[in-house]
Amino acid sequence: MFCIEAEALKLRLQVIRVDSLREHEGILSHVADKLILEFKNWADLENPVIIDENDVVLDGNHRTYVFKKLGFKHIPVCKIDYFSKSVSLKYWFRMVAGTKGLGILRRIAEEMGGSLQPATDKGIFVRIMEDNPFAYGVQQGSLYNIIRFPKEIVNDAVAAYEVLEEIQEKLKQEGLEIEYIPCQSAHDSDFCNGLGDKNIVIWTPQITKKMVVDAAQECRLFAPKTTRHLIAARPLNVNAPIHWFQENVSTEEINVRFSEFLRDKEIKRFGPGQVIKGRYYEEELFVFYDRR
Amino acid sequence: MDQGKKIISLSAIGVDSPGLVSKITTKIFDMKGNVTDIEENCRRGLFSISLAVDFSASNKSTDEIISRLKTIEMETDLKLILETCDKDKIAPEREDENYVVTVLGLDRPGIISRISTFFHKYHINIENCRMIARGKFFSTEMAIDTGKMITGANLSHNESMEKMSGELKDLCAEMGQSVVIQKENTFKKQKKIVVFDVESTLIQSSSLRDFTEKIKRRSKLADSKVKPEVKSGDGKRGQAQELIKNASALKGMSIQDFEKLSETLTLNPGAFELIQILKSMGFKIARLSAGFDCSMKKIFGISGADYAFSNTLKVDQNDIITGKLEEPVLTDGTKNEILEMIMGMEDIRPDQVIAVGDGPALSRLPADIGLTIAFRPEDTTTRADGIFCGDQIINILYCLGVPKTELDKYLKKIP
Repeated sequence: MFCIEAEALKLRLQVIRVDSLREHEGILSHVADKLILEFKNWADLENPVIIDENDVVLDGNHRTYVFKKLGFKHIPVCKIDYFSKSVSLKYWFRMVAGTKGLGILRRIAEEMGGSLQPATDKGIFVRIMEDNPFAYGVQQGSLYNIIRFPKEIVNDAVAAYEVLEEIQEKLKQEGLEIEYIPCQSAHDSDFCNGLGDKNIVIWTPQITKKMVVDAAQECRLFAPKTTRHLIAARPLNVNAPIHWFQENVSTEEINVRFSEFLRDKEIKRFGPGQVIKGRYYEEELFVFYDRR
Repeated sequence: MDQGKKIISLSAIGVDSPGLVSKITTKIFDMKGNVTDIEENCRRGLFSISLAVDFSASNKSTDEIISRLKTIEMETDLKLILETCDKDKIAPEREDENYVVTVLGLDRPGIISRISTFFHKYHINIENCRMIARGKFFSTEMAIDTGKMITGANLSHNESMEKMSGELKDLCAEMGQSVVIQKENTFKKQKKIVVFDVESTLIQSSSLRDFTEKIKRRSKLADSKVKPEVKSGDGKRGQAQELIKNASALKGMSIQDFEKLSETLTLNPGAFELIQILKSMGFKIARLSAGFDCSMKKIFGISGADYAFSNTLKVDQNDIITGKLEEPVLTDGTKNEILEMIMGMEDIRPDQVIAVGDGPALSRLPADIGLTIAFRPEDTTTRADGIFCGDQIINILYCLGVPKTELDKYLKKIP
């Protein structure tokens, strides 16, 4: 195992058996198909999948799917303490573009056995969402509404997201487009002001880390784009040769090889706020690279 | 084989028509001549060609060869000049003594005359000269051979080159021209990444000064226990460095207010367009800054970079600046390490890197960088391949060996 002590989190890089990984949410098939095609041209795996102590995948769901689909035996991972304060569980909200009001959502909710009710103001709306992990919020301009379903329909976190998927499908069938947006956007005044009346934001159920772990351990998958984990530190550019993970060698042997491989590299640490390979990182980074 | 055979130089000029090169070279081939050097040009319908041909393998006498070559005049309507010279007097091609000199700036009479006289003084041969831009803005590229350059007493060739380069930079500065001197073999190597030292190249120094002043005022530093260390007239680098040192002076300010302050910062004219063009040309872009991340985000916005490093101000849960910087603090000293890392990540060699900064910034980068350009350096004796004295950073494009037609294509896209 190769350990990195980040400021607020310990990163443990190692190789584990692919079949021991437990995904907690489904994949987007178009993303996975594209990744499979790309993957066949890759020589190295750039970044390890981030997992918790129980091998629940927190970041790298699609890579995990590809490794399983292509029959790999092992996979490089970065193990972290999920319940650390340095790991935040955020969500992907849904933006529905081109609606003509709340009528369509109200109709869909009612057809599915639920109801849509207004919240007096944003403060109350936020509180209701925080107190009811299986409720859905609807934001349109300065109007806030809550969608609820009876327990017979939504009785747990996984079911809440299954129902959300169904709502999304019905909206798509009505010709509307759904976009995934980070939940923080809904708190950004510039973003909210730019929404106008024709764009509606659906606040997704605010599930907890425990719910994520419980579902994964029960082999139940949340809908794609349920969780968005913000992890305070991450390793980057590990670039481990992919063919290693296809070889029929023991986990111990490949771990020795992997640790030596990482020890031979330089590591540079950066604070949050850097751009690497065109992507902006809000977290502390440990960038691996080869000596010249 | 006739050992007395000579090298024959053939120059021809005239009105262009299809098949000229074919007619000339076929005639040479028919007499078993071997073309050892060739340069052909066609400008506005005027054709010119120069060849050096080795006829060692020919069974014809030199007179007969010349007489047959002369017939090209009749067949093509070109005017021919033929000269013979001894094979051993032809200088061998030595790439390490060949340089490419790019001169650019506002046009004025006498630039080429003074530069060519300068080279003549040093016995430097101008092998090729081409105009890249002509109009209000002038740019010319010269390929020079320093093989017979007069070297100073007790000076090596490299030391003499350094001395000559310094004098050429002074001469160009005197004429208000920017100049870049690159080894030809490095010039020809494909560059892959352009690294900008942000404070000294992309941001207008006057706006950086205003920004610093505003921070001082807004932070009420006069009443603070933390005394500012910002010194006026301390130069661009000093300002950036002092900003880092004084991050503590920002304690208590909201990050939103700080971002508003960052609107003071403006890019140098053409900086945004330069980045866009370089990206569309396929270069990777790296921005190295000792300033603050939120300022960089504010001013660069959509002008994407592949790599951008800067300092991050720590904020509390209410988005209030704590006065501390995220570790490790990026300084001018660490920029070199970051560049090494980028090269490692991209698997590129230093000679594939173009670095743009001021003198101090460049001096900290690896010595074997492919092209170093000092943009408006305070000290013109700074060690760099090129000194840019104008305010148009976009003119860096003229030093990349990009053909004029292609360059025009990109420049036309700029509003």
